[in-house]
Amino acid sequence: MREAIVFKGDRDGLQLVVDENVSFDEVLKQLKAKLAAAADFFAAGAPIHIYPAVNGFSHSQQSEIAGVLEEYGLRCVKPAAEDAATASEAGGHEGLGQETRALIVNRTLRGGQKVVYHGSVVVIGDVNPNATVVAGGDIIVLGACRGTVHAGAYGDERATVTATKLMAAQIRIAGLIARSPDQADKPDMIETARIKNNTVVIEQSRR
Amino acid sequence: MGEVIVITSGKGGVGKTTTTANLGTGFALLGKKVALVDADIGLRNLDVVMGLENRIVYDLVDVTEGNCRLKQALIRDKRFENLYLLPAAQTRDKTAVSPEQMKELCRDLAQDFDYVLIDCPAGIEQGFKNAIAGADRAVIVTTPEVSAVRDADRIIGLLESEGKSNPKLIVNRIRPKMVKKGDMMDIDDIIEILAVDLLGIIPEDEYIVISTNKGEPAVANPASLAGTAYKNIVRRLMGENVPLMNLEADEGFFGRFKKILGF
Repeated sequence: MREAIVFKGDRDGLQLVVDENVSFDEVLKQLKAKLAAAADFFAAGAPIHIYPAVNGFSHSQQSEIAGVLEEYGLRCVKPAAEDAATASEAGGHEGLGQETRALIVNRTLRGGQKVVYHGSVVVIGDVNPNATVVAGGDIIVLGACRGTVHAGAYGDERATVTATKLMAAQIRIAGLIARSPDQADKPDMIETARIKNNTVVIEQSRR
Repeated sequence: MGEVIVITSGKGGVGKTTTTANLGTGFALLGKKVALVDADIGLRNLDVVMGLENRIVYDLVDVTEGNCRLKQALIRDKRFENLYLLPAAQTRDKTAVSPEQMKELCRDLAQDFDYVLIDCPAGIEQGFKNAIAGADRAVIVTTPEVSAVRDADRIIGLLESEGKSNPKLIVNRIRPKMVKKGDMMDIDDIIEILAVDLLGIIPEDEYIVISTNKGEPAVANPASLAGTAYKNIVRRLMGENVPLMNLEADEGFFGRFKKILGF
């Protein structure tokens, strides 16, 4: 039998990975079988990320999967970003289940373009105003970052945003949102945004 | 085989139609055979700016629907005999034409003309998709305003996703005095964001209003600063290396004095 679902553990907790080519019924069947076989393995209340794995399914199917997981004491984490699974018109969304942890975007993202990735994202180019980057991990922009960036979109508060020129309209990290000052100066050094004491702070990068 | 160039911007009112009319007339002045295509179906303007409104019999939609031959719909300019206009239909909308039909039309026109210029409508919907479908290259028009630059950026992204990379930029309606005082975005700010090649800058010029109302593009008037800027852009599009104009027209007594002395 083909493995339709896989549980992956990483520093953010458990992540559900679903083979896109398998039908919903088969996914549900295998999910139940796996959970039954390893019922004791999961700690009660442990968070599990089911997005974006289940984005291909309908709303009722998604809640059915969530229901099954919750029967075994797992807590499904809601996606922090709306529309987190759809790749941008720019493309660049890689399939889940691959070992790739960072997506390299080798061009400038222009207004209206959006990149969403479950791992970290590295942009070699600018992120222009009205462009959006959503990453499960860190975001690194080797260029000017003027758009909206969301690092740790699935709730990772240790995620960071780094840019050669960090001038983002909005920086979101996990559940926090910081907007740019109304009168911003051009930064003259590489800066990193991270969460400290429950606020987003920007400081000079030293690493 | 001629070259098909689309003039586009995203935002409305930045000077696409004025630019199309002036570049077309500019090519004609240099002896090139030029066709202007108004792709703004339903809101046509290019015929008015060219002063050819009263000559329209058939339009672009008549050609694509087979009501007439392409040659019948092309209107010869009143001043330049190697300049033609294919007007847009006024009673229809953008969905009357498909990108495939536009591609075919552009191919046909490129057989007979050195340059085919397409005046793109504002927006990013069907009209935009039609206008860029048959283009070999794109010229983006923007003004030194944040909103126009944002839209230009979006357009460049959409052009890239359609496989039309390396568009060239025209910055229209620059007011050198305001730029100098820091009240207007300067060219460097715009280029830094858009990261495309600059084709030229057009100074704000009252004569554009006069020429639009008269239906005679400014490029034919050597006294117009904007007209001269358009002429330079035409030469750059033809591959010549023309330096950017010095827009510091009002340099004061001391500046003129220095110029005389050769500084």
